[in-house]
Amino acid sequence: MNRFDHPIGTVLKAAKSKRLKHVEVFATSDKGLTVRAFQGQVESFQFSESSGIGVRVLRQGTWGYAHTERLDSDACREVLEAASANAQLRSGHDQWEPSDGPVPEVKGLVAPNFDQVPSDAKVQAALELEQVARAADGRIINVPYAEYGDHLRLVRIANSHGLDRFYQASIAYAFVMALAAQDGDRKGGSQFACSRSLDFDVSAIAKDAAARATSLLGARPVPSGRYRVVLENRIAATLLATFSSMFSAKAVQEGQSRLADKLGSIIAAPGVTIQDDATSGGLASRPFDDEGVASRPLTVVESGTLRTFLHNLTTARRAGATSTGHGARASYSSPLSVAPSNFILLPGQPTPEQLAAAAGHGLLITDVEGVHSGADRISGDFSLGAKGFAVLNGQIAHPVHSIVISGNFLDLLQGVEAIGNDPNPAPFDLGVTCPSLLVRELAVAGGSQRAAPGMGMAM
Amino acid sequence: MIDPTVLEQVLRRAASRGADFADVFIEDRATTTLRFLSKKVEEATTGRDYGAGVRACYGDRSVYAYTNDVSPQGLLEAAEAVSRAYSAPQKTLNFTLAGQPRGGSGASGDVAQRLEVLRRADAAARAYDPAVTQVDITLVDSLQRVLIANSEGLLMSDVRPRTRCRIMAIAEGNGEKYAGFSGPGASDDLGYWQVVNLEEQARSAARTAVTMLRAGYAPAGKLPVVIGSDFGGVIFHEACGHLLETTSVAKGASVLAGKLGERIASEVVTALDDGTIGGSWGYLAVDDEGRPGQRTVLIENGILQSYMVDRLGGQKTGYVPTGSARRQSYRYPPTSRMRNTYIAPGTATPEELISKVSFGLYAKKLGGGSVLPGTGDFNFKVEEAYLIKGGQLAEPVRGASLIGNGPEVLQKIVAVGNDLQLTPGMCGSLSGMVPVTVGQPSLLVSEITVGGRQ
Repeated sequence: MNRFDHPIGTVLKAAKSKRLKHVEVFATSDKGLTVRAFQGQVESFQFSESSGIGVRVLRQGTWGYAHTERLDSDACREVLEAASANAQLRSGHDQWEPSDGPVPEVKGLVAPNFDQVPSDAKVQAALELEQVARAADGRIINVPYAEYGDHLRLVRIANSHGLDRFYQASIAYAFVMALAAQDGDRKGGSQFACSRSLDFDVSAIAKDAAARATSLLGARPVPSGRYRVVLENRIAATLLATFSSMFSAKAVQEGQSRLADKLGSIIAAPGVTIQDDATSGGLASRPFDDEGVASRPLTVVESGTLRTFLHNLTTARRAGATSTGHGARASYSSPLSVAPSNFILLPGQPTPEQLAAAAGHGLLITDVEGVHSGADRISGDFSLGAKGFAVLNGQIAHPVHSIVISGNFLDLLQGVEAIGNDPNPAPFDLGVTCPSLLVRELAVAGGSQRAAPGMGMAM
Repeated sequence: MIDPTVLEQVLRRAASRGADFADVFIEDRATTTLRFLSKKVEEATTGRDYGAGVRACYGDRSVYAYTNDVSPQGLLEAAEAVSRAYSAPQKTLNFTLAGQPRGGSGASGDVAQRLEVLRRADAAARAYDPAVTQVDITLVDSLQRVLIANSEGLLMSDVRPRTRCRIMAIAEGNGEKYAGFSGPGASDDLGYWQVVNLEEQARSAARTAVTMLRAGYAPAGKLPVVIGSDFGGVIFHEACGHLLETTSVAKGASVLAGKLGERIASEVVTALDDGTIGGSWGYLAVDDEGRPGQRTVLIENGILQSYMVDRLGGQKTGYVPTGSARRQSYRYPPTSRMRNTYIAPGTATPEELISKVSFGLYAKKLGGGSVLPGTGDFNFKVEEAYLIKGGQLAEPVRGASLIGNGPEVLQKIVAVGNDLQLTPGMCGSLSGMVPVTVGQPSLLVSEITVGGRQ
């Protein structure tokens, strides 16, 4: 069937002869291309082809892991030995009832034309990203990143209980960053698009990146204080992606989620409903999760009430629940964890303009920095460098920079006052989607004037 | 690992359509990771990463391919893919591979040794305070063997042991949880953990968690800040280091491009990037293009002396490579990256720096950060902070992000302390995540935006 037939066969045969009852092989291969353009030329080309297997062994109630990128017979036997030895480092109470039930058919994971798009078209896309962004406005001084990339991924899972299933998925993306300058001020703007194949409007992405950069020129801080805030869709989605681990049963069981005792409780404003559906056709779709459990739609938060955590087979057994099909391995080298797939905060009615109008006096945040360090997934606290626009009398006013927005993600969910009609995925975090959100209040650090405690808005 | 005659064929094939340079990077890395949670081994993984990257350069343009198939056939296929992307007027590259492959013991520890490290860290963190309710420790040790050859005849190998212990202590109280971190590490085998004061590191993680759990929030706005030496170097790493890598300099995409010989920082600032500190987390005997490790003076008394340069960056800018070419693995072509980056110590004690501030923030321990080189706007997280009132340390306040603009903040460093410390971290950029240390003595910065809530 594919290149993993031999390694999988070797591992499972060796498992049988060693009387190891519970063994799983998780195999992935990727084949991809990346093109970067700079100053009208192809700056770099990159071809990639990689594959590896991760082996899990359950012994004495404990999982042991090992992985290898060497796939010869010796390496396959060694990786089984290593996983088996790692399982003996402690004793536990885990059991395993691998799922072999039917899986849904998820259509459109591989674009029909994926293999037919010629390399020239991909090169052209990268060149066009750069050219259009550069030409979009006289104030664009540089386009340091203009990149097109795609890859085809194969995921195959086989185990000692007879399960053996696989799927393929294609991804194509474009990313561009433009730098604008005026009167000594410099601003960056970036845009990202992603699909199953090269079918997005490259020119529109480039123009948007340039417009984002130029629109921030002349920005200034606002005074420190507490502001009503509209979070643009992609920023709201980035925060949702960052804090999605709070909904993981693994984080709950490991004492690392503040939602631990909140099942059935109100954790968000009544308008907030969050669903996860790996069968929806979104970019994180898959017929089964990374331990072979069938995908199915799930309502995580229903009108503000927390309905369920995301589970894999292990967390579900520990909690007396059933797996929700969210077993996830970041790669064959990573142990099993829990992660969302297409994780969506459902949109509302208002347009982004209506959200700004409803904000009255406040801020529209269109850019945040330092999410990997400035957001604490355990406490929910975040403190992030931000840029955007002042909102005055419901209208977008001057651009704003050199501010830090701070708050807690759970307070933010409770403080959602309105939800936009413009769902958008988080850049680089494909499945997580959120519309623009109007949020009651965030702390803002800005100008040199230090805010007295409890000081209201001053603009 | 591989017959040099095969490598010669691969290089010739990669360069066969007019490239002026080709190189190949082959990596075999064994990694053991143990995660210790709730006083038990939670996850144990062992891994073997094995692959090769082949690159061809045409002036300042490059083509790269990587594969896990490191057989002669697989390498030649990657080289063929690389050669086909461009074609330039045919050149003949005359070279014979020669070199002094470096040895290395590659000694590896056993399970008992690893468990001992984890138990020591866990016990020390828990003993610090009963409010510490969870300790999550990940111990990684790896041995990376690399073989590098290029069409200038270079043949180089290196054996790179590394080990790191990431300790997260979680304190709990009043319905809140707060985590504190510490992450010692070295270019060494597991024997390192016999030498380092691991217990002190574990207590530091616990102290941050417990102190911050009980603290209020930091003030918001522009304040004078004393930045302590514990991961404090992240400010220089973000505010300046990334802006001096030819990765962005070569494209004019750094605000510090073209400023060699100019004053870019306050005159109290002298800064280095040093790959030659033996055993350090950012140690690099040879870089990922096969050049020997170097100690590079970046800034002397505020004047920019050097950028950090890889081969392609050197081609684009004319600067001489500084042994700074690095990559996470064979999956990335190399780019110019930092190694051990630090501000040289001054004479003031940290207490003297604090005494100069009437109202401000003492950022005792810092976390991660990021920067956009094209604008110089950076941010980083303060993990543990205290107010300064009347020149004295006052109550603890919860970490907040600090933001600023690199070139501006470099001018606002008004005094440098005498307590230089190098702290390990992982730096992410175009060529992936690489181990670096950030270092600095305590610094007094006259004004920086503090993202607090009060």
